[in-house]
Amino acid sequence: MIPASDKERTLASWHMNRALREGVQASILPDGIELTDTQTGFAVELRSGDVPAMTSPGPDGDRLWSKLSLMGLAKPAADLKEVRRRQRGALRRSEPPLLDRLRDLMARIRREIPFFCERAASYDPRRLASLEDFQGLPYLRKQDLRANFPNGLIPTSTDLRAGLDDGSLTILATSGSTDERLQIVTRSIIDRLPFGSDDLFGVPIGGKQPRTAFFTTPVCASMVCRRAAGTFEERRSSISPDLYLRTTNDPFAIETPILKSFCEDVERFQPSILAADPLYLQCVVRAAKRDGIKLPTIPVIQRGFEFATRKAIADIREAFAAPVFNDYGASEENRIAIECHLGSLHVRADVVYFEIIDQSGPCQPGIPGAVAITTFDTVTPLVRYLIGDVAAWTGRTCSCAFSDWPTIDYHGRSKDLVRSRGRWVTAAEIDDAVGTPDWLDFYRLSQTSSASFEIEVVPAAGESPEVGELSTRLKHLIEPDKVRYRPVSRIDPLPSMKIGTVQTRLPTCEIP
Amino acid sequence: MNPIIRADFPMLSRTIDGIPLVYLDSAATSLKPRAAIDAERAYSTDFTANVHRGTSTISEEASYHYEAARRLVARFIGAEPACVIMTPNTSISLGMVAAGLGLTSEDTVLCSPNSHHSNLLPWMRRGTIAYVDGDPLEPLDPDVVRKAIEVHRPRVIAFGWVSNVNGAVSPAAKLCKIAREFGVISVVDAAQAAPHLPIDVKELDCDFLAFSGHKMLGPTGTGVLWGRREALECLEPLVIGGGTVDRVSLRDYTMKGLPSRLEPGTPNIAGAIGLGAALEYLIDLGRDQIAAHGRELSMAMRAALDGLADARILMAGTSGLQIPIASVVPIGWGISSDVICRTLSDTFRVMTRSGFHCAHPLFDGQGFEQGAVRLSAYIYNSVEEINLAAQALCEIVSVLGGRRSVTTAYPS
Repeated sequence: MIPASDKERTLASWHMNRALREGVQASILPDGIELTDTQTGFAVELRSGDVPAMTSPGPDGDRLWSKLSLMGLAKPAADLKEVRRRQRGALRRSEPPLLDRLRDLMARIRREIPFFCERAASYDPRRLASLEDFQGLPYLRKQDLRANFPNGLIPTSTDLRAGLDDGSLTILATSGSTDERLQIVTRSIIDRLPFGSDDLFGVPIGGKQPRTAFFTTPVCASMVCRRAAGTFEERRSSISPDLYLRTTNDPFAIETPILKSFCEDVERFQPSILAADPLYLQCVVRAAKRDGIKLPTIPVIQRGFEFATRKAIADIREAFAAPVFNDYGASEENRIAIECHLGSLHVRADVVYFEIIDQSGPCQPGIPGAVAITTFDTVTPLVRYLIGDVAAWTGRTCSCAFSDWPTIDYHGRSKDLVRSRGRWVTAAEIDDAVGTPDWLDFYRLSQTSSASFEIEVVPAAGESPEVGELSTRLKHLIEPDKVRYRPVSRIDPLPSMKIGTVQTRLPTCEIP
Repeated sequence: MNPIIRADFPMLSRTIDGIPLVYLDSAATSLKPRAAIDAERAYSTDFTANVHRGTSTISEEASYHYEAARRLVARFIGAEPACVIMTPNTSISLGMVAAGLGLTSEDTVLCSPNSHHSNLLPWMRRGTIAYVDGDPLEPLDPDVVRKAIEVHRPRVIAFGWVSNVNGAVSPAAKLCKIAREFGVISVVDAAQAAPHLPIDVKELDCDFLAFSGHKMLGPTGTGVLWGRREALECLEPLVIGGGTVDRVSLRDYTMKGLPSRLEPGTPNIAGAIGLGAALEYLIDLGRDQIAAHGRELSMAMRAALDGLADARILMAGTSGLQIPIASVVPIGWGISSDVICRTLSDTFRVMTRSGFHCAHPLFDGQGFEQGAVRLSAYIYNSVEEINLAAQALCEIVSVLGGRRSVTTAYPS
């Protein structure tokens, strides 16, 4: 192939700019042309050899323009939602098969990451003939991350000091307590949402990075964001269109000024998305009812940070009159799974390989197991990392636009598993059983010994606790005579300042 | 120091991810020996009763142990037991003095520029603060203090004996002597001195001395205010109530004598007893041996941190007494001292403290915006642990260290 001359590339660029959709820009590269859709963030690079076809009529040119049209880059202008849909399809078509991606990852990490270099024999891509072979790889654990932070876990070619200096890299610290906490190196800017999230949410949320307001625990807000106490401007992110809302140290007694600040900041910022700790947001809803304050309008609420009860979701949805979607992530990889407008929690197959395992191996649909993730797109790559969560495959195929991403049910944290009736019981199973009785706002079940449980219940305003009803709802999971109920007006936050719905004093299991 | 004593500290058998920890945060709070833990627990298991409130067997036992603890404190500092006031901590002790002297905004209080917030805020609140000139990282110079007294004519001089940031030791006895010459009330914050240095209040000749039990092997929530008898008798109690009065009528009351008049309400009985046991432990070890071990650790710390790149090491000079406290200030790093502290902890199991060490004016004045990581050692630490921590810091510097100017400097 003869490389295009500067003149040819300039001419092609000129032609393209006339034929491309508004907002799509062609820029000349040393060996080709890059097309960037400024309205969606989508970008594609055309090689030098394609350049002549851009300006000369003929079959090659027709094929190229047809390809660009399929990507939503050519005129006539289409609806932006449709454009994003087409571009998402193009991205998906360009993605190599999963096994190839895993082999590429292994080849890269054993070459570039000290931790994996030292264990290169275990990560030989030539021994990866199938996904079953991948299941033979060792697990990565939090203590591995702690012991090897930071230089053992990032590519030797990464200039961490430079990255921290110029702000392109960040060190995130988790909010966990002693045995859970860790730090991790991450890119400062990550596309939190998958490309084309309009289809995912069924609500127009605009461009590539929607304006997002975060409302979470003070530990997350202070350790990760460090902006919780500042002014509105100080709480704006300098690198992304985000705002960190003021939070509270006492979610069960949110002071009126904090509540007013929440409402005013949201009104002023006009976020497309409110990303919130669901139990803290439920407390905001309670406080708003208490003070007779009208909550602001928000197009989409994404819940994360901790397990959400059905009751919390229902209360939030009703109070904000907005859809509430699960956004399952962690400090180590904040893009694990995302909920669509049809209620399915889709694994982010674009950036993670997701496994659910129990003692006997991969779990069948409907069987909860420990989550192990492998990440394709992180500064700190993770391979079969036991993230400390429990989930189950649904076995259902969702009919939304992201139907090729498998769906899961999130069950909570592994450390919160309780042991009852001879088996491990998850936070989700307990919450399914508790349901959404009108009288109940919050609860937390604690296993205090192998044969005793305590459930703290916070009744809704003006309601009395109906513990008999709760006992009946839970009896298939826990024998009623082993449970002590304690009506309370508040639940003391955990060391991470999360509220939590389940905890245990007993040793729990890593892989159920 | 005899390594056998490490076995006396249960926390030293604690592991994280299966690896033993290195505890270098004693300037914040020290570890507790089994003797102190057991003594504190014994109050709750063997002789639980209030003190000085009755004549039951158990109450008298509790009172005996509580007063025995006071006598141990007195012995530890060469004082008369009645002049030892049991308090929750140094901050409360200093606050009691500041509140009880009847200061007004007309009164000047001369403070050391290296003061901990606890030795600044009470004075700021009650009087008008003036500072002794000089480098806050250096010990106070008696001549400069004399000049400052002559200029400011303070009613009180309040200074930190040992800096909690870099372990610099000021010549406390000389400073108190100068104060006395001018009739200035001297208040010594001995929170960092008491764990390391032999103290004799008669030799020191100050008016008030404050320190915390929890920094010297005792339980948290224990502290001491010692005062010259006549000074304590003039001190207006911050709070009065149960235990402080001899007699109360419908309109009047009669205060008890020392120390009760300054110990309102039920004290931290278990804590005080634990503190007594902790001090007994230190007395048995020998103050001179403790100081010698501190010197050895200081020298090891200095040698191990010397040359650490991309950092300024704040550590007192070698000319005076040596306290094993050093702060590592990251220079030009893109991260805060908190990240360094977390990495030392989570990756190397070395426990330190990060931040501004309750000394904002000092850090602001020096322009140390990222704070500092402080390493502070005590009797149970070894030279090997200091070296391990320094090696960990070197490794962290190699990965996260700054890209701009490098300064490693010790005051002379």
